Amino acid sequence: MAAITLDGLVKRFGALTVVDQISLAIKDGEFFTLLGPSGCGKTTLLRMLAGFVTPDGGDIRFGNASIVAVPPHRRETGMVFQNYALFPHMTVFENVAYGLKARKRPAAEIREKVGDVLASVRLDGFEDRRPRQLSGGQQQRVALARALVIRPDVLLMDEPLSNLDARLRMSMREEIRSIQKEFGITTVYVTHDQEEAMAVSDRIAVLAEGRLRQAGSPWDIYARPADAFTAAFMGDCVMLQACSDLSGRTCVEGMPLVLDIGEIPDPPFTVMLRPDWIETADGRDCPNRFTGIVQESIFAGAYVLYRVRALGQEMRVKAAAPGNRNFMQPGESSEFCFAPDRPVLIR
Amino acid sequence: MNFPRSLFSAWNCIFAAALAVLFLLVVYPMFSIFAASFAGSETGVFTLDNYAQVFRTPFYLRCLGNSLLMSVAATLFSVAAGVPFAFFLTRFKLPCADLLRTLGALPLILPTFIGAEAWLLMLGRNGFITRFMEGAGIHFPGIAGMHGMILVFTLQFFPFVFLTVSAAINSVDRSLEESARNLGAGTLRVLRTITFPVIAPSIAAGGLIVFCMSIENFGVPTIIGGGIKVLAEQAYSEFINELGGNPSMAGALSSVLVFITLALTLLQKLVIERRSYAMSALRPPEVIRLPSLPTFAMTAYCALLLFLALAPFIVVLAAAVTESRGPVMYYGSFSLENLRKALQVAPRPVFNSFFLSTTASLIGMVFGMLVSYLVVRRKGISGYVLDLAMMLPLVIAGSVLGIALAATYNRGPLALTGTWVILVLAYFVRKTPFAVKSASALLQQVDASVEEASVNLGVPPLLSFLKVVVPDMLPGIIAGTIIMWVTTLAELSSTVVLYYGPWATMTIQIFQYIGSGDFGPASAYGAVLIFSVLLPLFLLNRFLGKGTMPLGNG
Repeated sequence: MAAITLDGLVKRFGALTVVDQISLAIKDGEFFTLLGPSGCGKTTLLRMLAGFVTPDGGDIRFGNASIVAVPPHRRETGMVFQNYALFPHMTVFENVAYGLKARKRPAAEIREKVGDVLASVRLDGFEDRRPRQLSGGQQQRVALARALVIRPDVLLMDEPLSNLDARLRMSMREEIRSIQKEFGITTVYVTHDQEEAMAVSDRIAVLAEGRLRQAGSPWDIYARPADAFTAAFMGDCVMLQACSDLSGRTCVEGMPLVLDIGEIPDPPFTVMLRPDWIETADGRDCPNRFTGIVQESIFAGAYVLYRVRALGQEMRVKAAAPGNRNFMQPGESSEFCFAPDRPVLIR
Repeated sequence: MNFPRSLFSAWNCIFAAALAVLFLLVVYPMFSIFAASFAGSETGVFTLDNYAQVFRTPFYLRCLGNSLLMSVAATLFSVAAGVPFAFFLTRFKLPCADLLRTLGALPLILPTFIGAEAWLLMLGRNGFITRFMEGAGIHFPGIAGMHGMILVFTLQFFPFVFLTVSAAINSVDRSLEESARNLGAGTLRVLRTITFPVIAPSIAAGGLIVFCMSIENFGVPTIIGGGIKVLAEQAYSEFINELGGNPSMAGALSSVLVFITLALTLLQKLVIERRSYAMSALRPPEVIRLPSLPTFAMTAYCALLLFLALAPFIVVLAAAVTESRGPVMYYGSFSLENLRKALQVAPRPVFNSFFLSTTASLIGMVFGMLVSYLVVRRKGISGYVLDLAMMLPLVIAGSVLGIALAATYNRGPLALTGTWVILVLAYFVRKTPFAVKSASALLQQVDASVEEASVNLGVPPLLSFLKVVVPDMLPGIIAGTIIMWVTTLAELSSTVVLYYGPWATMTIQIFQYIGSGDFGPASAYGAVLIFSVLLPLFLLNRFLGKGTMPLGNG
């Protein structure tokens, strides 16, 4: 087990800089996710940790020791690949035992450890199957067991859920999270799915075009994004342009803006809202209250998504589904508001 | 995998060694004869005289013309025969289709010069069909000549067209034709506007292989050419002629030959391949069941074509057990005398053939396995260069490569000319490309992450390759090795240039016996050769399944 330090990492492929001066400190035992759109450099970063890509600059340390010069097979990282990379000519047992055999452990110990790890991924009894006889979810769990059984210093996971269907993805991510906590192994996880990232991680680093945009807890990244890119990448947003009106108050399209988010700069500036932070006023007397006309309403089960024309723009509002059929219909006019501590200042 | 970690990592050393081997055995010798072609025959100074002589002397121009005429005609006839063969067998439900398909690849691995011998046995001046016809009062001038060469090439090489075209037909998803139909096109319109244009690049690719195989062939023109001279043969004559031997002229003729095949191959790579529409078909085109009359006609066509291509080899087998005195065969009699001579009295050529091809194939197996890994996995210019060097022998005629090796290594510290080692090296260079193709086809389907997973779990790169990559490539490696072995057994063109006395192979024996008109002993060695080639392929198909296609020989 080890803390990981990335210090000014750089990787170029030809003229393209795919990882650009990234520094991060990942704590011992932490579940840390690299999140970003495809081509942001997250997989390259992960492969640098595994040793399959050599950095062009900067340093990687596990604990206090730099590992840049250590060849991949001596790095003590356990990697789960996107396509699982199970050895097709070996049984489940042989796949999982592979790393222990490479470490020349005695046969009895290998049997015991493989049995234990297969039990913890709920695959006991599958020892003699071949990979192609397993479902996608089972293959995924073999890949995880194979990486865990060597008790690596660092567990690396490259989009491990992207080949599974949506329902299985949900249950696997809970399982991965609980196994990681059980083993307590420092884990670096790569995904492009922001919901998945928030569900599994202790902390998330958002990357774009090879640069680090923001690192923080799932709440920080979602509710306090540092810039417009992170804000948009983490989910739907509503951007409001705040200006000063004639009497010097901060307004959005004539609506006085009440903010309780610390230091406020002089307008003009942009504030960001999530559709689920906007509520229907329902006659309440709340600040940041405005009128909007519903353009479209989409019932999605747990919530209703409204497309609303208000404050001189079109915005989306996500409201909890009512207990009856009477949600708002297109053409209806309604009052909306949002709490003063919700909005985010975007620079 | 990321390679440049350490300059002296295991794979980098293998890469350097492989490149060095190919440089020594292909690039440098070829460059030498290319350079020799610009040297004055007596003075040694730079001159274009040799090329001027090629293009001004009527005799050499005739050689060039013959080569081109022969190869173009063989290509056109092969396309004409092979495209319907492929189309019938892939798109229509025919009885015995599986058998016809399996037999359809067979002519490729049967030695062409034995095919030529068989046609002489049937339709030569002394052939049994010729004599039968003469008995009936019909005069037949004999099969030897341009028409004979074209016939033999067509019958033995049409499978190249058949294989590429049927692969192309099966790689086009049926939705393509269905959507054309859905848009209102009738059967003929679909055929004309969709099916044919989509497979056209593959027809061209198959035809190109036929052309290259024909123009570089040495044995067929010598045996059934009836005195018609072609480039591959004349380059050898210029080189071998001890009195008037002219290495510069041999170099010039060789260079012209290599230039033709190289230019066409580049054309294929740069123009035709880019227009290839192969997709990974989820649903190959529907196999249509037609009424019995057209079904019978199509089956009859396929069966007749295969009969013409394969029957000659049965004639050779029969001739092997027929009493003979020189060119006169006593058909109807039975004698084991020919086989006894071949296997008991003079078994050395049989041993030579087996020893040389086994040695060359084993070296080629290991080398091909490593090179195919480097070619598939190593991105960028270095992998490309290795691939290019590895595939270069495919565009070099066997006799030309033989000349190049013999001329390069006939003195100095590496004086190999006149030893068996040079034969092994020539076979190794000429056949390993097939092993590389066969192994890399499989390797391409093995995701790189499989071996990364092994490295990640603590096994060093080279050992990971052996433990998790090689097992996945194994069917391809075995198939490739067997193809190397059988095609080496049948190799005539480079052997003729490079062998010396005690190391004569079966192919040399056959060639010389035919030359002296002794068809009995020639057929005996031919029979041994045919069985040696068929048996491993039969086993290969049996145990590794279909789709392990044999490839051609020179």
